[in-house]
Amino acid sequence: MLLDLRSEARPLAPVLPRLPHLAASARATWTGRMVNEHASARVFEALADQMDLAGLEAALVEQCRSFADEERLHGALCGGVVEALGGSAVAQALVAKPFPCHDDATPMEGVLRNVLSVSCLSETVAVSLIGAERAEMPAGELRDRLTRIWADEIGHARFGWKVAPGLLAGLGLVARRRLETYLAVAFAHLERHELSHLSLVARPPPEGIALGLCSGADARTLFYATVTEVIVPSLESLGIAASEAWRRRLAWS
Amino acid sequence: MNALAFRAGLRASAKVALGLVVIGCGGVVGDAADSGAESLADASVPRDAGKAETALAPEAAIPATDAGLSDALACNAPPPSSLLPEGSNLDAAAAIDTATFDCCAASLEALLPADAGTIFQFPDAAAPDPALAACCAVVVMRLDHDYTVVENGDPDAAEATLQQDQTTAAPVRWACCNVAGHPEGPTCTPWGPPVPPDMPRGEVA
Repeated sequence: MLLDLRSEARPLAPVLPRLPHLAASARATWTGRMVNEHASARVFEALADQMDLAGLEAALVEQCRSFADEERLHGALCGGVVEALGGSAVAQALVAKPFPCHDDATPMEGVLRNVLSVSCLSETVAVSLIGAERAEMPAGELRDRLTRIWADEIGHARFGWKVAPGLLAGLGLVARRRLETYLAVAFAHLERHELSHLSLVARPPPEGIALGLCSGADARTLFYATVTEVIVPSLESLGIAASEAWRRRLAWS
Repeated sequence: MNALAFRAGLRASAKVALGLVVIGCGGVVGDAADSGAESLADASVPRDAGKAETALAPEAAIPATDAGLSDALACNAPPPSSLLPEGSNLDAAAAIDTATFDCCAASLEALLPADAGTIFQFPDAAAPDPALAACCAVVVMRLDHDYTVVENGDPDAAEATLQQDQTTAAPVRWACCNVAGHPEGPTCTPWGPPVPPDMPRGEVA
């Protein structure tokens, strides 16, 4: 199925620095971001539905649902960059995978698993990666755009870290142990996902940062640092054996 | 990716995760350098949404252990304004002597319960004390200066000092970062943060 965001993206095309030798690489990068961001809307919609079914308060459910709108906007914002680079905001859409309902767990435990995976893991890593890219990027319309996206990602990650303690408080010992097993699985999934998007052969020239082109190797280093120095200690502070889960991820890789 | 960008990325995620879970400060994760972006994110968060984790934060229950905080922190620490904001007072940071640093670290640690381990927030009763802010600035800026010397000076000699100072300040480092407003230097960025203590068995069960 094609994802066609041309009508939304074209009015959003930013003014970019002229770096024609990097345009093709930048188009590929921003097209990938467009596809991924747009697909994430489904994730937040499904998570909001799951939270609603589990009986979480309506304000939290609606907040989560609003993240889907933000992800769709991010898709268009990224598509605008593709258009500004001389490309077209059309690409093969990601195949929609079923959202896990975790029928083996209580409704709240199921929500917590998904909140950990989506917000506390994936979106927290995104905050690091985008934050680093933004820190290097020179001032301009693209940096402003990245700042807007980054701000939303901060909100998405923050949501998980806010919700998780309350959900966790309702879990008994057995459920916590199950959660730690799930966390190992989620870590393995996160690692596979991130490494697949952070190519070791991506070594753009220094001026590439002006178009959002980053070193894949550096980004991988930052990914691992974020997991081991931020996410794991934060989960540990909640009483989750996250260090052990990070070690055990290897069994699920 | 340069070191500053790497650190900025890590710092941002640490503020989101460690700031909410451990410090329990809701949407109040300030950053002068990035206030625009973080304000945007804060605007989407209901102001009362942080109550749950605030109540759950382990530090929230830590009682003050000393009523005479200013006396306990009498280490001749310079006023925080002479050290912070970071980067504008490097000479003052270099002038922090070992005796003042050790005194401050020990005095701050004395504010904590005996078995608190590494904490991220001082007892509420201690927070308004100006001497606490002064000693925290000493701890943070001395460590920042140590890092700078390791990177730019004689690594072998400086590394030993850094190691010693890190050990001395370990119990209060992150709480001081919180007091000092997470200045930009390496001390308060999440390079190698200490692993928080495990939850007690009774709590887990």
